[in-house]
Amino acid sequence: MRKLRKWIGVICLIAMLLMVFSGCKPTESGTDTGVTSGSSETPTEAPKTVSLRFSWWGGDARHQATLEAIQLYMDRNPHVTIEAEYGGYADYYQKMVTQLAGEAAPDVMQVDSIWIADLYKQGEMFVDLYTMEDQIDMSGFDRTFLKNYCEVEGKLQGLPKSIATATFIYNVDFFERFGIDPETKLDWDNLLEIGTRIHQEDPECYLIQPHFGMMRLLILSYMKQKTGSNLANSDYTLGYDKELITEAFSYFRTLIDNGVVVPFEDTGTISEADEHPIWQNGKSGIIFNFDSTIPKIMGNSTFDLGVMLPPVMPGCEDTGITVKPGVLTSINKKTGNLKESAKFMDFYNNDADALIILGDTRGVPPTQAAMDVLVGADKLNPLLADAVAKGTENAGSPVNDISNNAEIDKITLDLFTEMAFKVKTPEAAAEELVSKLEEKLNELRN
Amino acid sequence: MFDVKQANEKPAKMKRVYYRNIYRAKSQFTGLLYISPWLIGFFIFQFYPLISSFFYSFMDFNMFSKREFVGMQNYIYMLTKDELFWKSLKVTFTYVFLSVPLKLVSALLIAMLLNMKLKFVNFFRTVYYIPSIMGGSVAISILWKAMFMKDGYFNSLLSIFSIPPTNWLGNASLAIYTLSSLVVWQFGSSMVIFLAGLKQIPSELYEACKVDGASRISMFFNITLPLLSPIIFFNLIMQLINAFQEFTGALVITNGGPVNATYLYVLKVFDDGFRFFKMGYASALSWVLFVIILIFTSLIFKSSTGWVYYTDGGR
Repeated sequence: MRKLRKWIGVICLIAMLLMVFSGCKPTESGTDTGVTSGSSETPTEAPKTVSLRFSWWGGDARHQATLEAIQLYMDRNPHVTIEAEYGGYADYYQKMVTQLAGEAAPDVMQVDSIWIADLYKQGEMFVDLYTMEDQIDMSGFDRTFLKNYCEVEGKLQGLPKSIATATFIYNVDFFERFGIDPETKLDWDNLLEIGTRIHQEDPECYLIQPHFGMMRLLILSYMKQKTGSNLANSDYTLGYDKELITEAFSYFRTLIDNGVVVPFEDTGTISEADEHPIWQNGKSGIIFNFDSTIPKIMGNSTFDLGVMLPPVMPGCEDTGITVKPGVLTSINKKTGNLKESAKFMDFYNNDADALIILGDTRGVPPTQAAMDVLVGADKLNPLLADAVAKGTENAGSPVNDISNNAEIDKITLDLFTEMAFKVKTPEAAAEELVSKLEEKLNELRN
Repeated sequence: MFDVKQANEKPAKMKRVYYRNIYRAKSQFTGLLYISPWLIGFFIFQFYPLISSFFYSFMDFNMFSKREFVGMQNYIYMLTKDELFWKSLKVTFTYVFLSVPLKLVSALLIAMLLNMKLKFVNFFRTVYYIPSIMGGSVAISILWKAMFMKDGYFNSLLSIFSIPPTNWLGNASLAIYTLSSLVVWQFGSSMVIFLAGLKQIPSELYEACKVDGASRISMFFNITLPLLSPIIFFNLIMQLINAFQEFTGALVITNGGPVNATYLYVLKVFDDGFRFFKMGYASALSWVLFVIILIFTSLIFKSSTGWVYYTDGGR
């Protein structure tokens, strides 16, 4: 009897182990049993079951809409099951990179355009979508836009789902209270002037509610307008000299000293400007951010919002206004379901019903056809459309890949923050920035 | 003379030993089989990564490309060129030396309170343990963030006493102190161990002291602390190891800022590994942290002969 009990115990343990192992087995990027890549599918055969994985980041509205669109696709294609993998932006990149390295990434992925160059250096992660034109309708996409922002070495790494532009999002009541004309063409001088006046009139009020990363982008646009070049040149040399960086940093310090910008210390650890009580209480007037954040900012604001262009230096070489894909959608190079992934991509980007369901949850669509569908269905936020129209009309030249490098970004942001927190003088911060960037660029070149 | 009896006994004895060995081996095998899920998990998810990270620390490896042996280059770069390495080390030491003693003192104080004969003491014990269950979570970190920002609840509370608002997390020189004190409330696990230790102290000792007219303070320093020293020793080591590896709070509450003032060492490891793809370098950083923890743990072990008192002589 004891022996029998022991054997039962051993069998149970072995069964448990087997279960653990089968549970640990990585989910293959498609449990496709028949319909795989290429054109091996015979039209007469009934389609065999396919399982796809699709990952994205976003807020609740985006999640809901995307899940609904996925459901519609699965209803129309009963042989396809799509597993949704979604969450916030924070750490999405880290998770995706780890999955790509472990060859366990989803079949279809939402990707930020600033990542594709860094990733491409590590090998081809995504399918060159130019090779899929027979399955994905790309006729509505602007080829120059694709070339500038979605290609690496002539290979299309992803399709833009939206166009994003960095814009000034303002509080209408605040502007009315301080008599600011929203049609004003802002340049760096009148920005300082207006902001200083506001703070003098009411020391509790500030023209700009800062966001660390975006303020850095604003300063970079100052330097780009002066020179027409990017932070780093394609030959791994620095685009700006110490004098120009000192000038830009000094200008920004003046904005802080004159109360144009909410002091960085007061922004605390709240990384999102619209989540700060100063903004929510209507004591700051402008948030500089990408248009895709407008719906979220609207949710955190009890007042009406408007959009206007960020400052542009009169007669500048380059407006420095950032226009880029809001998000890209890419197909994993290692997918076992290339054809089905492409079919889903086509639905996701071009199907009228899908477009209506998805609405503007990823921003303003990049094709005229999609725009028409959204406008017709009254699904496009007019503020978003206004921001993108203004941005694209005045767009600066594209930011090159090397300027988007994560380490370059960290160095710039660190020194910019030290200057903004008054830990370093603009001169000292500029000097250190030049030396550190030159060292890093040299390292990256080799 | 040939002893027939002994000759018959020998094979029987050998047989017994043989069967006993088989039985032992069998029961050991069964034991191993029972703990095998854990063993397999340990070897795959802890032992293998530990060993491989040691090899990666001598390589240029970014998860995708071929691993290239670079000798001590990662370590040399870390010690000679990487300013953030030194900065994050300084921040981490400040954090550890502040948070660990604070946490242990709080745990001991609360444990002593809960060791008293109070009404509803079990309820209080449960309540005080709750923070440890949820203490390190992202949700709580967000809550701390909201409480300690300039317009947060903590400053509102201080304003009742006419204390002007302070930038607890936004001020670069204050942030690390605020962050260190925020983890103090997760004293639950240390508290439970202290409580168990306090219960072990024989009440006769206190009674004898009382008869001799000793004060409460004197009893605390002459009875409680010495008899509790093995528990303090254990808690100190555990908390020290945990504090050196702190990650979530610093990531969620301050994200290493402002001006890298709360850029804890593990945040740097994470950035180098998963933001900049420098896995070889991140592995080297991890091994340096391992050595640092090893040194501190060894020092505490070594010093323990001088301050840890075992009633049984440490046998």
